[in-house]
Amino acid sequence: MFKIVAKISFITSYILLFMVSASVLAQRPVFKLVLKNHLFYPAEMIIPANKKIKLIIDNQDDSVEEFDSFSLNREKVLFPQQQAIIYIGPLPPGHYTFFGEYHPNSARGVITVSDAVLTKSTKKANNVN
Amino acid sequence: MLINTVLVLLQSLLPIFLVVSLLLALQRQNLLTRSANTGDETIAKQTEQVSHLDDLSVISAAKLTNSITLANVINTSFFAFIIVCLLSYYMPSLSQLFTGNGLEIIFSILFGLIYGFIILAFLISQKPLINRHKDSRVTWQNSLINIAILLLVFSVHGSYFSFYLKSLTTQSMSITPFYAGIVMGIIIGTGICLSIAILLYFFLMTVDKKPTSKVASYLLLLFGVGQLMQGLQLLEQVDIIASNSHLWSTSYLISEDSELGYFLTILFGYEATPSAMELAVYISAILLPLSVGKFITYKHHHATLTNGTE
Repeated sequence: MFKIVAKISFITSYILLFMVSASVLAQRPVFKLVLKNHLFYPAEMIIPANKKIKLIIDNQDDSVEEFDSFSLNREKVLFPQQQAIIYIGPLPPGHYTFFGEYHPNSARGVITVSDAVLTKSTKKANNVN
Repeated sequence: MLINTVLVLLQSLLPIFLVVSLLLALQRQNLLTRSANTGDETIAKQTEQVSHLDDLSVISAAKLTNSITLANVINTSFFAFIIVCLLSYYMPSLSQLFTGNGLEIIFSILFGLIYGFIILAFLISQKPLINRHKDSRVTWQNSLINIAILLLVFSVHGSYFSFYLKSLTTQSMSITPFYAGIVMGIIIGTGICLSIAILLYFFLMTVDKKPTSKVASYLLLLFGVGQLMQGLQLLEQVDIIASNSHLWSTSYLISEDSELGYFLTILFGYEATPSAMELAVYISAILLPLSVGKFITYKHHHATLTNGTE
């Protein structure tokens, strides 16, 4: 039975290899989110539709927080005074809420996915890197 | 603080309670099938006891089985507790590995391991019993696999809750209401988790009455697939695995942040907005062990028939 399992693992690893994003090195539009005093800035962010983006979350607080979003399927621990990176999308137009799991009453925000051209603020955020 | 602690506890500790319940139900089912195949009256009596003692706790039921005993659960929990403490202590350093993707990579490997061990437990439960119980080595392997599943689930999910508690203690707040909220949250959350686990165990006990019934093993497999999907989402999050657009959304029916959504996500990896890749992996992760299980059963029946004609 262990031989069969070994064969399955081998096949699975090949499948996973194919699934590995070929665009790992590709440039993604970059957006930045800041956590300060258990509040997210900006609380509303507009990102382009049907495009994968890179989101840098900068935790400027002295406590740990966890970025959580059910609609985005994302969960990331944010360590104090550290930056964390997650990738979002591609998403259809709509509103996607997120919150800080350790301070859900104050740390809240929404990501608006829009077909419209990038706004001035998001363009500015793209120049973060 | 109280509600938040309950929610975080449910998210982190419910998988541990559910896996204990599923493993105990699987053990009980194995025992039942064994008694049916060997005609062992003592085992049949033990199984009968478990079936009719409505007030029997899950842990007491485990005493009657071979693989997961109370001592095993306590020992495993003790080792898991040490791993949880170490993981939560080194989490900040681990997160810095692999250019900031350390936690996602490490935890996705652990989720993959949980799925791997659950497949092994599932395949052993599918193996024809006459062979399985004659071979004590397989029973020993089964025991080790169950302990490994318990240890991994405890370590992975427990570390998030431990980290939550650790982060709360670093905050400057009024001590009395602060700790009262946490303690009350832990008591309520543990009560809910324990109730769900016991209900699931007794549900499986009612459903799995026939020796041929294997609902517990299929549910355990689905739980494993759910864990694999969590690992996959972590890899998607850091762009190691490509993610596509969502195929559909069932959020209007069952939202993932609802109580039922929490339960279904943990039980079988419910996803309100799956992508094509997630769906493909989910189906493959179920079909692959099912096919291997069927193949093992077919192979055994074929061998038995060949030996019979000779």
